[in-house]
Amino acid sequence: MKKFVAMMLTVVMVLGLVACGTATPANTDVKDSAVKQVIKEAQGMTLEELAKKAIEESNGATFYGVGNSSRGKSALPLFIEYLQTIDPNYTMEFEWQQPKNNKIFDQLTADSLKDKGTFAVTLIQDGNQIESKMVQPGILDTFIPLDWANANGVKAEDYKGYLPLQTLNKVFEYNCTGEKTFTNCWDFVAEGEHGLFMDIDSEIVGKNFLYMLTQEKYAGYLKEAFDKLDADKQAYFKPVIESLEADAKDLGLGENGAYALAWIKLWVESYMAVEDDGPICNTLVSSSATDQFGLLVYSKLRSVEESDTVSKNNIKVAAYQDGFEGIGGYGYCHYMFVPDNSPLPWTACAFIAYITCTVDGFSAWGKDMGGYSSNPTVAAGTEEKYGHSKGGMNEAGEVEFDCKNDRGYDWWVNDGQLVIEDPAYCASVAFTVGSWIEMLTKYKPE
Amino acid sequence: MQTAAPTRAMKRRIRLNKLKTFFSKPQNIILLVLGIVLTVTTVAPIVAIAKDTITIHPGTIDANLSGRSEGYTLANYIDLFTSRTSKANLWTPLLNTLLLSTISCVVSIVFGGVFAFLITRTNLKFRKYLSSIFIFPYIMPQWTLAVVWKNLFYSNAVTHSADGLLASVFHITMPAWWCQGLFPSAMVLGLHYAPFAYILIGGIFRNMDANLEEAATILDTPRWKTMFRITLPMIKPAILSTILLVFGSAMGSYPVPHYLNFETLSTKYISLNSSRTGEASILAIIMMIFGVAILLANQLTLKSRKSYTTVTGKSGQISRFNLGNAGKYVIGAIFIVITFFTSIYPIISFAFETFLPNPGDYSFLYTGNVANLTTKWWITAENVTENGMYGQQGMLYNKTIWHAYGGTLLVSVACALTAGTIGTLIGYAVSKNRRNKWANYVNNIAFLPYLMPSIAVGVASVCEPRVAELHAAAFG
Repeated sequence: MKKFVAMMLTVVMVLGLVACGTATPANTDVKDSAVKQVIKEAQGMTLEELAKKAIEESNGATFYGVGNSSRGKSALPLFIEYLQTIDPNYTMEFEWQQPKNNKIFDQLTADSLKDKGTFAVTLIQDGNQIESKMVQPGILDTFIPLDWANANGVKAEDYKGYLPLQTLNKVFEYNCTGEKTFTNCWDFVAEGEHGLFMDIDSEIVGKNFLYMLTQEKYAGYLKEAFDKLDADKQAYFKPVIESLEADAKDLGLGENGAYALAWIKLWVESYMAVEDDGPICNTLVSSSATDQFGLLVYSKLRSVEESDTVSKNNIKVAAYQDGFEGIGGYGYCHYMFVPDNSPLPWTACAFIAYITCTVDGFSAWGKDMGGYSSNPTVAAGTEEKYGHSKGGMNEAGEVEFDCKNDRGYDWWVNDGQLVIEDPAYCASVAFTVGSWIEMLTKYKPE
Repeated sequence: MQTAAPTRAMKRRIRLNKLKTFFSKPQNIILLVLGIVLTVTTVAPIVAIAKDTITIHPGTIDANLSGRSEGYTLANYIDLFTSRTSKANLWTPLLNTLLLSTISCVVSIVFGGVFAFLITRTNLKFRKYLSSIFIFPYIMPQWTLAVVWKNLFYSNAVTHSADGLLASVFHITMPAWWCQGLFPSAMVLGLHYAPFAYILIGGIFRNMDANLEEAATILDTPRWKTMFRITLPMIKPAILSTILLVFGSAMGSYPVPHYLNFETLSTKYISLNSSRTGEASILAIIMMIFGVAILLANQLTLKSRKSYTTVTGKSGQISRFNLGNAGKYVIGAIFIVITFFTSIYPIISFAFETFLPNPGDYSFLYTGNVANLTTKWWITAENVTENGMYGQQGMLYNKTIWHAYGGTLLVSVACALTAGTIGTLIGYAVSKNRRNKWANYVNNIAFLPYLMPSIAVGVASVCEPRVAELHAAAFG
């Protein structure tokens, strides 16, 4: 009897908790939510009009933001200063959180269960997860500022994608204190090579990069680079490519899919996992890292200080070298969204407009190399203000550190063959190409 | 009928009196209240995680396999245990976790136990200094030892990185198995938890009645036999307690295997969480099952523990083994060297790092040039120019760091007070009700949270926000 009662109580408790947990996001109504209605209205307003609405809404309030970039915290004081130019009495407290280990998605999902959420705005990366976990379930809404739409020559109501704040690039860099050079992207997966890279399971945008390689455009880049290899190198890679042709067909990839799968297989089975891009950069600029290379965030170079054994001249950006063939790295975006239950939607829209449409607003990110505003006007203004294309020049105008002369977004996309993340494509292959990648055996030093 | 009413009233009164008597004893109130609180705060995360294993998560494998974006499914179990990825996602990390936990236990018990014996039962020199310094690795976060290991042993030739101290200063390159994987992870965790073994085993050694050993000596029993037949059985409970604590902690450790490139259930949990959320929760459940199994095994062993009765006279003396005139100094010196590397070197290394121009840039050591040192990490008062500071101010001026420091202290003090108070109250109440089943239950349930890997409880908070709220309400 006692056992029966205990069992029944356990079942009731489990069912109770299950029942407690079945709340669905408060945004499945067919009718537009209050936040969506605000966004619809806000998309027709200028920044100044939005600022006035924000002042009405959030004067004296606390604004909570959550993001993959800590710089949101630096941008908010600038935004408040801007609002104070319109109303000197305006005040707003703020808190900016930067969750680690992919927890931002769990946090936003948990917050979406409330009628009125905590977070007013989010700055988020990883298009694949954003598409499948945030946008499709209706947790996040896209707001397109009028000025941003005008600068990009689009109409807000017709624009289908997300709103990127900036594109960041991760690029191939190698230590040049030895004789070794890397002149083709296939050199990074050649026999005996072990590039330093953040593990694809630690930073998911790395996995998105691999997914994107299977898109025909980028698979084509790999094929072109392969064709430019000498016969010996081609002979090494050819059997791998041929062995993967059936897999490429099974996965529904295009005609150059096997080249993409071969590069991915060789990369996953050879890269040396490192916990963060910072240590990769610090390793490569050291004189003892002779002949080593890595795929890392370009902007990390900004903070390297010269010493007897460390120098920015100890490394080279592969894509900047004459004659380099193939992909030079990959790019991923920081997107801006308004949660569908944002407590301060007008202020969120004004903040988004401020950081995507003004040089001052973007300066929290724009002062660094390797981050490119999605607004062409802001991008040009940022370059004019910070001169990243001449970041490696000394005062006399001579090249001091070539790696710091940022060639800019257009160069990277066209000449540097940067692989750009496409959220929809990543989401579509996450469980086909994704599962295939999971079957590969990662490299362990022996 | 006339007699029935007074009987019912009497029964009610008896029940009331029993209740009054029960609640007049503080230990009963403690057991009841803490029993309920601990049950809720321990069971709720388990239920939340169990529920998460069958819940469909949009954008993850269960949604893809079931073709639905909400509801419940067994797809996570089927995929994790039977798909082509099961070896990579389950069996290999599980085997690695068991190996890591077992070897960490062995390292901590052997290292901590031998040290405890030397300190308490021999005439070793420098005992006072050594017993203090030995605790340091446990005080330091476990990831610090992992980072120190990397800084010491990594090399361009083996780990394809910059040379660590050993390679750059002495040109010694350690093999790959020494630098990454099971061996360094187990060594680091073993060293980190060795103070557990020292404190627990040392406590028994220190208070051990020497009657049995003296009796063995009188009967001319060989020393090895005395050790294996008397001394070790006496410290068996301490060894079991150490296993209980170290196995559970090592199994749930994330930073050490993460930094040293070893794939365990906890590192796999993190990597699966984005695209296989439900399967990650199954891994958390597996970790919990091991925790409960260890607790049950410990209970069984304690129940079958033998009792020893002495037939000699009473003795309060602890006999000390003589290490010899040279031995007591030599062994002491060896331990001073070992504890320097496990306790002092990491602190010096981290302090030194704060004066390096770039993280891991030991130019000063190779050249002796003081220009290769900097105080910028401490005294930079602006965050406008980058100046190698990642947009941050120096530590002395950085409000975020001071805020975090204050928060860490606050959490530590709150945890220490809460854990100390609850632990003491349970200890008191259980000792007053030794044969009571509820007391035994509270005793066990109090242990369970420690054996549930923290990463798994973290999972629960993420799986079910209400659990986090419950924890916050229960523990402030």
